[in-house]
Amino acid sequence: MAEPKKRWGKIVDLNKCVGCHACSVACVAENKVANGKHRTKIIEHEEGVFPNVYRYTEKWSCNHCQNAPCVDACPTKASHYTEWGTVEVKPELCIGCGYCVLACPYRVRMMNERHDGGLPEKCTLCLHRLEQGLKPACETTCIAGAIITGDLNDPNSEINRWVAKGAVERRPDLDTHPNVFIIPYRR
Amino acid sequence: MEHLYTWNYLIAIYLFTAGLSSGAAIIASITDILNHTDERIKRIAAYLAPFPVVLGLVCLVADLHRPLNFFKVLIHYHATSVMSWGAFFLLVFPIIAMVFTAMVYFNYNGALRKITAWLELVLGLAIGIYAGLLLAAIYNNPVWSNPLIVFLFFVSALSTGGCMVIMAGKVWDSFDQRVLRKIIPEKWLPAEKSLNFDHDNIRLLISLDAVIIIIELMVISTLIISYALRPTGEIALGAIITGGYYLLFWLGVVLLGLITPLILAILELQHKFTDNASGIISWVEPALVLTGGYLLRHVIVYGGQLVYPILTLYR
Repeated sequence: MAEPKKRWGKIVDLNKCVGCHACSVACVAENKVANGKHRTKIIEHEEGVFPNVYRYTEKWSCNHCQNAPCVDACPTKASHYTEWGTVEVKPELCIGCGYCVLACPYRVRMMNERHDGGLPEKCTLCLHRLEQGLKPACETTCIAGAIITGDLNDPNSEINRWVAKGAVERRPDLDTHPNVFIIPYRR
Repeated sequence: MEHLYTWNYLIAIYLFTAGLSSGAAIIASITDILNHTDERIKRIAAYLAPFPVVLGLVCLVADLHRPLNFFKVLIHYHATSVMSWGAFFLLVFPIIAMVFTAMVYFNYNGALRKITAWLELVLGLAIGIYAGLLLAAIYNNPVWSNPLIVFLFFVSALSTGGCMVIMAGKVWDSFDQRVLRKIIPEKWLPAEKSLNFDHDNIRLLISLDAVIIIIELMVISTLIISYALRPTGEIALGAIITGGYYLLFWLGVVLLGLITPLILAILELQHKFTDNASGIISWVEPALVLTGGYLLRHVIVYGGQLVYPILTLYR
């Protein structure tokens, strides 16, 4: 009997994220990202109206949408869904047009320079590590334990306990149905 | 924000040249289908139609980050990708346009001429619409994802295409035909005088152009209103209308590229100029429209990319 298919997902708890950029650096080191490019980065939110203002940080990387605008936009099907629900780029098909970078509503892709291969740089959810039973680089290095990766199809997984804590999609109005969720910041 | 601009002026040049080709192809095929008796406009438009977009295609390939893979877009198609459809039209259009150019050049009047003219019309419409659709299909971009962008680019394509025909006719006229006949063998040249514009040709094209410019101004006003009525309107207006590229937009596109040539065209059509001045005006007017046509694409391409950092802050 074959195992039920995995659907890898990730949750970032914004209440725990301290914005230390460790995930960003760990990702660059693990995936040998070209100089000056980041697959994951920290963005800062400043919200509220004076005097009740607050700020928090958010880990920002590919959301691995199940209905991904970048996959729809790609003219050669280089951007595709893997069998584990993540979104990846086939280098042999990619022409480096940059259309996926513009189509992504989350702005998580960026083009590499021609001398660095010219592929769009994006998070792969560290599939090569997940296949070996390891955690993604960002999760292993996160000092606050704000990141969790796991199989969304497995009801007993840790990640589904986090889902129950109130994880939400980013920009649900876009109908992209991401596999990466956030637990929104609560004051 | 790091790496703000994914697409640069090469894309703007491509959008501009695709518009030129589209406009020229539509003019050539419509005059041919309607059996317009005046050969000059038809001939110049038909001769020019394939070439600007070929230059644009060179720019497109030069803009690719993996240029050696460019042929993959011609063999792997993806139905949901607007760019994939465009690649197909851009592959077919120059071929059909070249065939049509050859038919016009060799005065071929057989059964295939009508079919080729219709194909050229359809493909001319297709690449004219595709230029705007490429941007409008990016549905999350407040500047680009507006159907009026498609309409604006298409109307501008007609206008710039017509002006390219005027300019080409003027350039051809300004050559000394005797010198030209010494450089190029007699049999390669079109019949004597067959390409020379007279006053009536230019007046016809300029009056058509004036009408198209008025439509373009109306589309731009509607576009601004349409931006303002949307929830993301503030971002879109801030990128090209009230901030960001607003100087280039208002001074370059609207004032230099639309209002000035419109005034010149109206004055010209009312015979307000002496013959001498009118000769210069018929150079200046299309040159301004062509400049404004490029600047329009430039402003939209760059302005549209200004908005991305703001989008990441949306919940």
